[in-house]
Amino acid sequence: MAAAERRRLYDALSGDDVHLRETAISLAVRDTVREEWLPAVDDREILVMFALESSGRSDVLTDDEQRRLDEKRQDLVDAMSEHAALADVVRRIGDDAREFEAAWQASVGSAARQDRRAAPRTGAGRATARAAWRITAVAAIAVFVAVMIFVMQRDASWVTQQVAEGRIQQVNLVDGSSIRLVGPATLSYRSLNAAERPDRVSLQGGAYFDVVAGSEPFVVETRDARVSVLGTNFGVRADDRETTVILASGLLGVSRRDRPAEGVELRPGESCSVKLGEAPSRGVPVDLVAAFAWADLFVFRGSSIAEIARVLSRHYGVVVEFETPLADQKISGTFDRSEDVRDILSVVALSLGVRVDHENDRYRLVDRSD
Amino acid sequence: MSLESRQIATLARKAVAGDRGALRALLEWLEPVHRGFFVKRIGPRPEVDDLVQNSMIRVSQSISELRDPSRFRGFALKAALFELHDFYRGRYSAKEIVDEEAALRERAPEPFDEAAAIDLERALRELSPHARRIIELREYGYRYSEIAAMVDSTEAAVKMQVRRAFEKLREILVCLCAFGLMLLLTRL
Repeated sequence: MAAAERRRLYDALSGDDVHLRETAISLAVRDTVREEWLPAVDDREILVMFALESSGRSDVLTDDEQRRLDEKRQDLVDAMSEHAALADVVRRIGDDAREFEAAWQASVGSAARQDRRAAPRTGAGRATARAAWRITAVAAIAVFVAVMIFVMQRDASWVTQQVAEGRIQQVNLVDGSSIRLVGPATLSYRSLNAAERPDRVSLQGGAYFDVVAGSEPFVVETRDARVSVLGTNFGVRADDRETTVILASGLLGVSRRDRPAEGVELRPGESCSVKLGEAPSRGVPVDLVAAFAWADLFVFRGSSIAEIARVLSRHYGVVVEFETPLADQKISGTFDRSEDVRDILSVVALSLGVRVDHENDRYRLVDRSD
Repeated sequence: MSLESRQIATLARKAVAGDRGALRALLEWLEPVHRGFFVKRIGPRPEVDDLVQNSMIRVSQSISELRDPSRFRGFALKAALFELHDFYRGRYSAKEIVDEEAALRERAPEPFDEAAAIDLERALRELSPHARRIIELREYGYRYSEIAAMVDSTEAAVKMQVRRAFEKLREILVCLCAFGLMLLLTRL
């Protein structure tokens, strides 16, 4: 949360007695939890030391650290038997360590490549290498300058959106179409006229497109593929290996990027993939809910209430029930998985003309007349 | 042992012996390793700079205690893990957050006297083991997405569990308070 947002929240909380009481309870819970099990881990480094020792890495502990761990070990074991969360933290530290090992290995590998490039040369070989290097450098600079001038002249109106790994960003286009970028992703498009939707975008990474029908086709290009649509909802994932296209609704054509005339048509609920230099695979039916999990979306298309209840129950860890006559009713909708289950069920209920009853972790869709 | 690992071990040996140049070279090599690791664990957040800087200070200040220079990788791992968990435990909370929370504590009504604090402990014990586990991980400093990965659930389900846990705590506390009031009245 940004500092300004946080300040607004705290200001709002400070002026509302109900919120103040809620906050007081929340703070008291925080204090109680900390008082209960944090004394065992009051030494901020103790769990890391414990995890390192448990994984056979006590050799990296100093004498002082080993002494501190010896003093606390029994308290720690006792606390772990009482609080499962501490065992989770120790396991998580094991995951952290594995992640570190991967980062280390990657760097050692790159160091090796640098070492090979920097390997010493001798005599005539060294002079020849120097001359070759100079020629190559001059040529590279000339090419770079030429390319930059060309790019700056040609691409003054290019828009690029980059989204980091783990982030999601919505790009709204002028005609009401939207693109949900799922990081890591890069979207580029040329915007010649701010009042018009771009007719072509370039994508690396994943995105869910909600394209409003227009007179001109909307084209998505990746390294491998070209996706052409009129108005529809679909997802595209482009990585180093291939591009995968999943169609939620409408109709679209997928082809190799360099051969737009040779493509396949996808029908709703189908997916296909394109590898570099290869023709698109045939469209195959997919489970849309599972197929759009990477976009953090629930995509329901003609889904039965029974199916929606099953999906929401599993995802949110709650019970979603419905009156038997509703079981076969079908609805379509797209929901953000980070939305509250109550909000999603409210929309579902609204579209069915029913109401949602709620008690603890149990939600039930019932006829309004009941 | 590959060539580059040997080079790292040689630098570490020299650094342990007090060679400042070797230590500098070692830290220059290590800095992007730690940065990549922290970004991978907590994302590209502004705190990564602090984490990297502090982990480098840790390594440079304690390098003389490295018993076996060929184990420098484990030594660097420890420094990174110490900093990461300091981060989770709230060391990097901005001062303004701490100040604002303190102000909120001052203004919030005191909900519990000593006896009520015991009630709260009792109420916490009433939570399901799963809900309690999530509440504790949250208090340790993990984000919902991290907790979801740790308990093999989804972020939305974890958020739901936290909200339900707080609702349940409030309900239990109300019951306990009513029970306490009844006891008091019967004694009168």
